Amino acid sequence: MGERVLVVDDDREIVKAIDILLRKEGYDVLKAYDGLQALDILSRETVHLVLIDVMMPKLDGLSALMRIRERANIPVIVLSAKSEETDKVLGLSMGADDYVAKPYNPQELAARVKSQLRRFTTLGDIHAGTRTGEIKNGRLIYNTQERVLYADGEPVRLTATETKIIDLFMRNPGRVFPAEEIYRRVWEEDAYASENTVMVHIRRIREKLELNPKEPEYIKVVWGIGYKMEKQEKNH
Amino acid sequence: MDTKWKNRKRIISFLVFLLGVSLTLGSLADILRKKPGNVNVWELDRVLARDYQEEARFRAYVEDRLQDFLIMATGGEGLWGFWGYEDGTYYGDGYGYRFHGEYGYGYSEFLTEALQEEIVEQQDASLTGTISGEELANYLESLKSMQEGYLELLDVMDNEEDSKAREAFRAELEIYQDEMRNLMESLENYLPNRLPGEQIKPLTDEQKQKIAAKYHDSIKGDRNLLYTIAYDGKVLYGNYDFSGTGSDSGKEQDSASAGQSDSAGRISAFEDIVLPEGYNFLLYFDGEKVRIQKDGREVDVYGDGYFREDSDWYVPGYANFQTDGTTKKAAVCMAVAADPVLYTEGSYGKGGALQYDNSLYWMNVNLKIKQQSIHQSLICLAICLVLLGASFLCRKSRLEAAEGIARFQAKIWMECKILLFLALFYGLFMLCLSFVTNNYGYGIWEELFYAYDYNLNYVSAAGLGGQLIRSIPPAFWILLFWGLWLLKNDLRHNKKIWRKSLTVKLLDTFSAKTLDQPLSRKMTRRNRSLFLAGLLYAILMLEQVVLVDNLWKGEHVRAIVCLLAALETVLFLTVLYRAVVKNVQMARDVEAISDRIAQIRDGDYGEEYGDGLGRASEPSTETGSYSGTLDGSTGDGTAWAEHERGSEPQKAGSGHDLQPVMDQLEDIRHGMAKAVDEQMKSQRMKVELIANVSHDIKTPLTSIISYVEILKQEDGLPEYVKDYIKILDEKSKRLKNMVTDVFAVSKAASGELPVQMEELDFGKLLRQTLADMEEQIQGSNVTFRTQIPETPVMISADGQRLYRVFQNLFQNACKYSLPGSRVYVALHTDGSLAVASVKNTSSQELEKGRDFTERFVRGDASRTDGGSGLGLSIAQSFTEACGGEFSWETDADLFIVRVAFQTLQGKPGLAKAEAAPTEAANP
Repeated sequence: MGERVLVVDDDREIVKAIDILLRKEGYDVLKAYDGLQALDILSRETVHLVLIDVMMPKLDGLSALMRIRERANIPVIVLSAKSEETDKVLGLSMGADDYVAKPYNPQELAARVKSQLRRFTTLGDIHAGTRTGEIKNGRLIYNTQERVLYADGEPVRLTATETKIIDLFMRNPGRVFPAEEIYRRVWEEDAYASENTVMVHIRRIREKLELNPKEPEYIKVVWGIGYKMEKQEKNH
Repeated sequence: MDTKWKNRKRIISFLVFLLGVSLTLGSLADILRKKPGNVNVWELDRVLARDYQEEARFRAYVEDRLQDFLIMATGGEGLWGFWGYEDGTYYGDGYGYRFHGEYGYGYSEFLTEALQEEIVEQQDASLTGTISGEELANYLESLKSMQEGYLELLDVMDNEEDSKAREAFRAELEIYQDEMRNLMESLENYLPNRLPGEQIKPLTDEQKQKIAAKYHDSIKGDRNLLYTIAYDGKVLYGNYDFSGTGSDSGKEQDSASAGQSDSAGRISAFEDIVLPEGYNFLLYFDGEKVRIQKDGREVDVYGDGYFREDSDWYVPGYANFQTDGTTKKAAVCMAVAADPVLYTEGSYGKGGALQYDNSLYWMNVNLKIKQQSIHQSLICLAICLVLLGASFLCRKSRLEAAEGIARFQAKIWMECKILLFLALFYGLFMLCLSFVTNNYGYGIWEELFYAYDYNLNYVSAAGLGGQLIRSIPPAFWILLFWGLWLLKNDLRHNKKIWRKSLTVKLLDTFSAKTLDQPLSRKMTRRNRSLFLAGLLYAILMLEQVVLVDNLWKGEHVRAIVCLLAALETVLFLTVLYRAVVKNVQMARDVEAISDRIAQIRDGDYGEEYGDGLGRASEPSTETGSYSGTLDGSTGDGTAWAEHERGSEPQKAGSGHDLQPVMDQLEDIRHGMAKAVDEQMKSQRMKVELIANVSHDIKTPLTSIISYVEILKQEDGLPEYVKDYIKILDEKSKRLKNMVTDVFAVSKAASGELPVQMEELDFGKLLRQTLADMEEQIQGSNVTFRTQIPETPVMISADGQRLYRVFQNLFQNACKYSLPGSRVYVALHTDGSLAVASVKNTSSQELEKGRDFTERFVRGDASRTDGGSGLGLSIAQSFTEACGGEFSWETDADLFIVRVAFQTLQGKPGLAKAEAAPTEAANP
């Protein structure tokens, strides 16, 4: 099989569990138990993705991440028991491509690994400019002409209404739409009890494109105001 | 004993100093002012002569008399002061001349009354100088004839009845007639006086004799000088017989004419003359030479025989000063009394007691007086020197005394001292003023101006100044000296001479120096002094009105009153100003204190006054972030920071009246800050503990979840094992939720929960939450009834947190409601307050008095369901973190939760950050 994933954690059981999880998904797994080991392996082996814990002896995850970033551009997912927003922002700003808080949902973790690898290997040319008629936001690409949404390069199957909603969102990333407006623009009729209808659709869209629909990254509720497509800082 | 003596010594030495300086100054000033005995410096040698006969003026007197006597003897013309005209009745003006005594009064000394009258008349006549002498003569002539006509008329009118009145009138007329005649005579004498000199006729022998006789008459009574004048062996005049008999011949010499026929009248030889008792000076002139005997010894008159300017005696007999033939026949003998007496003749027939020449007497007396006054001055100076010397010798104890005086001085108000000085100078000014105006009758500036203008130079101004200075009494100089001495003493020993003064005292009342006194006393003092100043002011003003009204009061009094009024006005205004300043300051302080109290009440214990009070600044680094959690209430860090920024630190500098209050308040604040700080610390430790624990739980939990997942995917496991795995899966997930919730709630409780405040629609948030949880609600066996207005209810909160609040509430409602019952969700707003309520009927009996928001508390104590037990607790913490108000109540089985927020309409114009959390009340 193809991709090689380096799993770094001082907790050997966790490393083993992830190993089992990812092998089932068909990945080749390398193991390391501290930052130095990880760097050592990276210098010898070809690795396509790194899963790294933050709190480790000898060399902590974030420092190792910085060292990795000096050499390679491979995707790095940070695993941490720290679930604070600030910790997440810190990890991402240090060069991590994703941040997964412990205790993680194993399926979600696998999905994230898959997503990152797809974007890195399959798409390959992630740094190339967007083609005409394409709107890119994080791992989402929306082709306005085809009216097709791609997540990690794979087309997402959406209904006509959902496509309309995505069209609205992808064209206006970051803008907050009240439910009434979405209803008016998508259903093209006066809003009545719009909140539930819109929410239902949004939930369905989330399930189709979010890695963890319970903690959505892209389509978010702005409580008390409306809904929006979160504009991703990292446009890999 | 010793100290007593020392004190006495000090007093004595100082008194000596005082006396010495005062006397010195006084006598020096006196000497400078009016010379002792009016002796000029050039007269000193004369004054210092042993007796009056040593004086040059005595010699001049004797020389003059000799000359006069020789004139009388030889019948010459030009007897001093006596010259006349044809008829010999008038004797020209000789008044005031050749007068040797200084205390005399002009001519009255040796001129007879008659002569005096004539002279006065002559003066009167000369006063009428506007008409010519001829006119006057004609006028007098007509008056004379008119009077004669009257007299004739009276003779003719022989009326018996009016004989008395007639006789009186006649007598009066006759007097007038006499006077008229006299006037005519003086006019006749006067007129030739105006004629050219060659018209003056020489005196006849008879006239000369008459003049000589008159002269003899005028001086013979002064028996201080005895004389005999002889010519050609015959005694002509004399008031003493120098024939050797020694008898007093005053009686027989009474009449001048009789002296001529005196058989005994001759002068014995110089050697034979015996001076009468009391006489010690003898002058003998034999026609050629003068011989003088004094105190029995002959005086060398001629020296080397030549007369020079500096020769003592200006008498004939020198080789270059010989007598002529006529004079050689004359002989004069004079004797002078050693101790002259005053001779007065009671010649009442001539109209009163008559004083003779008495020049010698006055000469003697004056000399004695002058000598005496010089002696006195010298003695005085000597005493002064002795005293000064003595005070110099005991200067140590004198200095000690000065110190003592300085100590006393330090107790006197400075204003008194200044007033005394001012009074002194005011006195001086008045003195000068009176001097100038008395002397010249103008103001002082006019005087100075005219003095300069008329006399063309400054010398006269200086002269005026000199006079001025001389007019100042010595007492002033003494006072001035002692004033200056006291000033110097004060300055030398008392470092701060202003310390003891009314002004400083007043200022002190308003200044910070009375810090240790309680506020009430300070205020009392201040108000009292203010009142006193006002009272004084009022009194003075009233007095001034009265004084200005009374015009009889002098200019000076008014000037003083005006000055005092001005001073008092300044003083009063100063006091008033200070008081106002202090009051304003105090008002500010009160404001600052009340602000501070408000801050402390609001829980802001920042070290704002730290610098001002010089207190070591507490390391309060995170005032804003942790200050809101007093009594468990959640605070909003940013809002606190805002609050802190908004309140300007009011520095209460030292010197404020409310300083003690401020200090006490600071103490309270300090104590509270400390308590809060400690509470914070323990709170933070709790949070840290929870964070660490949750982290430590998370790591094994991760493994559990991971392996449960692996197990779940394992194929070929028996069914019952799969059931076990399912249970493991559920419980591990619940554990995960719990850990997350515990962490969140503990963070919120410690106020470290970050919130992002934004404006949002409360109603929409509720609808969104319901929509989001629709599946869950559908899955439960309760129905939701909503009453949410369509119109936006805008509040300021963190949407994400508020969503969690209602998520928890709705979850609880789903979980703990009686199956089949309804949950009522409603949002009400009264414009300023938006209240969302969730009401549900509990499936379990609600225990009364149980706090459901307490952590890990659930409706049932069994804890068998999937909740963490933190739902309500999180809801409350998050609500309060967002600035809302969370409350709940139970009514039988009805459980009601209310979440209240201030609407943005309720507080318009406020930015969202300020719309925050201080209102969060603690349930």
